[in-house]
Amino acid sequence: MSAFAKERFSRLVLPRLDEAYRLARWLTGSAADAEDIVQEASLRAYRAMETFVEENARAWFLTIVRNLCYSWLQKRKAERLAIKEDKDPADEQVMETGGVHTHTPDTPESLLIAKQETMRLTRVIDALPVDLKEILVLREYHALAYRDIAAISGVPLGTVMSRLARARQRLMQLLEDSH
Amino acid sequence: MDSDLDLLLNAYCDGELSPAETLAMELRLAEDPGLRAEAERIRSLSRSLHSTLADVPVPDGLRADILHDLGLQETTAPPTPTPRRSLLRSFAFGSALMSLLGGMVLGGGTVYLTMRESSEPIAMDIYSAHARALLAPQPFDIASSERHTVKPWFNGKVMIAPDVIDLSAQGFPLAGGRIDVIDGKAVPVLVYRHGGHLISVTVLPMETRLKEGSETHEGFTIKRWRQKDLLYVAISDIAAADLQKFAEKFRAAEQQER
Repeated sequence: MSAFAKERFSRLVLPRLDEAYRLARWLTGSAADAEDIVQEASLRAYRAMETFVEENARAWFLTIVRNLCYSWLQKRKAERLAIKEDKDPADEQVMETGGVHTHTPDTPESLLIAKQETMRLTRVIDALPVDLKEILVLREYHALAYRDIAAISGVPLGTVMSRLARARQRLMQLLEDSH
Repeated sequence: MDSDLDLLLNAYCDGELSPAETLAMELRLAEDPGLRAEAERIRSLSRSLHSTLADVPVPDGLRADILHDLGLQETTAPPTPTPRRSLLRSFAFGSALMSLLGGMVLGGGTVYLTMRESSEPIAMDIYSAHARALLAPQPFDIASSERHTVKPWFNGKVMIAPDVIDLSAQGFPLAGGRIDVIDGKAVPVLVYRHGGHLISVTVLPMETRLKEGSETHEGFTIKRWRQKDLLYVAISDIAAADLQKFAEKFRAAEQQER
């Protein structure tokens, strides 16, 4: 690999690993798989550096991550069907992340409430269907413009708008229900 | 609520409507308290979502593993990660990386990164001040959408008397002003709103050692430009294109001043 490709990779991809990881974590619901996905995405990005036409590197890299997450989700679904695993991924997530934050006496009440809020929000985000979740994360965490979200997700602008509105409606509903 | 209106309201809160659509929506909001409440629900949801989504800790070894897999090395060790303040930490490192580009030397199989002058700590100061302001109960010391209230407030407190630009007609209403300490000096900061988001504009002396240009890190975009003997640094988590638009409007309005 040339020095040119290495320089590009350091400049265009390395600074985006954290946000790529968080996207993968939210889409797959799994910390370990998110790590694998970001490693694979980095490898692919690195191989493409020689010929990459420098434009919107951020959207380009996030698209690779997003597509790998979808492949991973499909593979997971097939595996689950094959071994008749009946555990819902949302439940698994709750089992992985929920319930472990037990009350410690020296935690101030307000902090505890904030923490519980975050956990509750995490659960309802994880429970969203992936097509809504993807748009929501790209907007609320990555703060991308609608047209960038449309490009990354490969859907028209109107679909981005309707999915985002639906995702937010659904979250508000779930949050109310879980009270 | 009918679904078209809901889409428009969401797009309005995200700052994605055209100026004409924005105006139409603001007129509707002015006469419909139910719609205003809905807009506030969307914004408040966005705020909690952003902090929850960004709160996911990134595994400590991820970066090192990737560099190792690709046969790359870096001579600058990343700061010791802590899971909680990950947003600040990764920004610090990312911004260090960005500012290092000028000083990046390439050699056989190794990417060497070297520190470039002192611009990075200043950029970090500005970022930290903005991040802290977002966590504080109020992101400003004086809350006012009235430019003639904000400008005199800075008098006698800081050495720079910035022009307080009114951009409410362009979709960026003034929220207030605060004073940050950047590079050891007290400087004025103008705070604007856009949708549910805030934009901090830090005003620094011309000679501040910061390059003009843009960066994006962890969902925050930063734009720097020099104008009329001052250096302006705008930072926000709105879309990069929106901050670009803001900077253009700000520059154009500032040009008209005096």
